Amino acid sequence: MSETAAETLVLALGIYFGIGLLVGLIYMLGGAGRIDPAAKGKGLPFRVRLLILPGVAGLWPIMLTKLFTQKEPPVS
Amino acid sequence: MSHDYKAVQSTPFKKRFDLWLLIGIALYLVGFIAVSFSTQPAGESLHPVQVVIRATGTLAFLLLTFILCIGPLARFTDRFKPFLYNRRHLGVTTFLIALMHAALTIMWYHGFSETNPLVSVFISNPRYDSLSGFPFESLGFVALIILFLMAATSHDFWNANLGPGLWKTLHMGVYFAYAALVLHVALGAIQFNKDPIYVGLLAASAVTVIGLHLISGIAGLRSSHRDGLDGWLKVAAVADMEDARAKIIRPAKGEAIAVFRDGEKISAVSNVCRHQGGPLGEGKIVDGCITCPWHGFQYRMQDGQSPPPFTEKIATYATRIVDGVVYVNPEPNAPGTPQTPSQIGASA
Ligand code: HEM
Ligand code: FES
Repeated sequence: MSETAAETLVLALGIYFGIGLLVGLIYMLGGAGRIDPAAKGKGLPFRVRLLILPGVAGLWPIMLTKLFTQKEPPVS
Repeated sequence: MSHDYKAVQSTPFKKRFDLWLLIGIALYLVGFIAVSFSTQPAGESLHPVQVVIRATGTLAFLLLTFILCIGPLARFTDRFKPFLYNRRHLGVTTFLIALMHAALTIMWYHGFSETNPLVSVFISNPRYDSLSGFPFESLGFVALIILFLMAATSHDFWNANLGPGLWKTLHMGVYFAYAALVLHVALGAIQFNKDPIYVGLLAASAVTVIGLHLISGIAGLRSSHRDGLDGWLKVAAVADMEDARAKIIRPAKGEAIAVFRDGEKISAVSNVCRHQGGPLGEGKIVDGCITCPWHGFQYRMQDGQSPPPFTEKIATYATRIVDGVVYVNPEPNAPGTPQTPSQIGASA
């Protein structure tokens, strides 16, 4: 891989996870309860909020969409 | 049956499991380091960081190999069931150890130059240039990202909110990660360090994982062409049905079916828990109710309904016993439909 390509890749990854952390914060501050009633308020203790942060950061495009479309967890 | 999310679902068994896991990891790392230094040829000077890089890399790889073997092994023997239920902790631990390996590598081999260490990982490591032009570190990186996504989505919250389909697809990525790692080691470390132990371990690991999956896949295919009776699927001989336990049947289409025995009665329900899709057929009957192994949701055998005040309902299936063999009708009844159990000993 050329140096420019590698630099672009690393920058893109940085931007992706940067945005992800912001979306993750939205989830920690109540977004989780919006898509899953069981995750409202005390249903989701602070430790668990921290625990879901990295996942939201990694999957933020899906999780951002769910914020607007999902009212409760999908069941099979 | 609480809906609250907890950080870690803990039982005394899980605590003991985690303790042994930590002890095992510590023993491996200490052992690896001790053996590396004591068998080091005269004149060679291994740096401790390099040894820790190798110790964590091999440990993460071996743990992942073991994790991938649990599924097929649990199909053949119940001994592996405890590992099946504790795979999450194994998976997260594997990610953390792999992360240590990667972080140390990046600091040690890429941290001392002008270039951003991460950028330098992708340009390929100048130290290995003469040995192998292949960007084996990028393969390790891709695998690490997959392991990260899986570890990060291992909590129940994800299981529920991604939905079983998407969650499962994501976690099937582990096979891709494993393939990338086999290449990472074959094209990287082994090019540089042709130690027969590495080559042997790598080959043995890959062959074991592939072999076990093939065997269990073939066994699965056989049982999906199971003998039937007027379109009903054969479950097992009554004598082979353990009390308070189930056999899981996978029909050609539709959800898997859990066929339970409770004393002299046989009933069948959907294998999928309404809570978060847990495998009901791996649970037990407690107080006359089918109890999910994941978080303990309960359903009555005779109608697939949760006892009041709960309102969850799952599909039921008709069963019958012919010549001492249990059969199930693969067509589900609507969730919560009462279905008379088959009575062992009564003529069909
Ligand atoms: C960013 C990600 C990664 C990078 C940059 C990386 C880099 C390296 C390097 C430079 C080596 C050769 C070390 C040496 O022999 O001194 C190596 C070896 C190895 N790596 Fe990785 N790796 C990464 C991810 C992983 C992951 C995720 C695993 C497994 C879960 C893994 C497993 C191994 C194994 C088993 C070896 C062979 C043993 C050894 O020589 O260390 N690596 N890796
Ligand atoms: S109780 Fe949670 S999946 Fe069954």
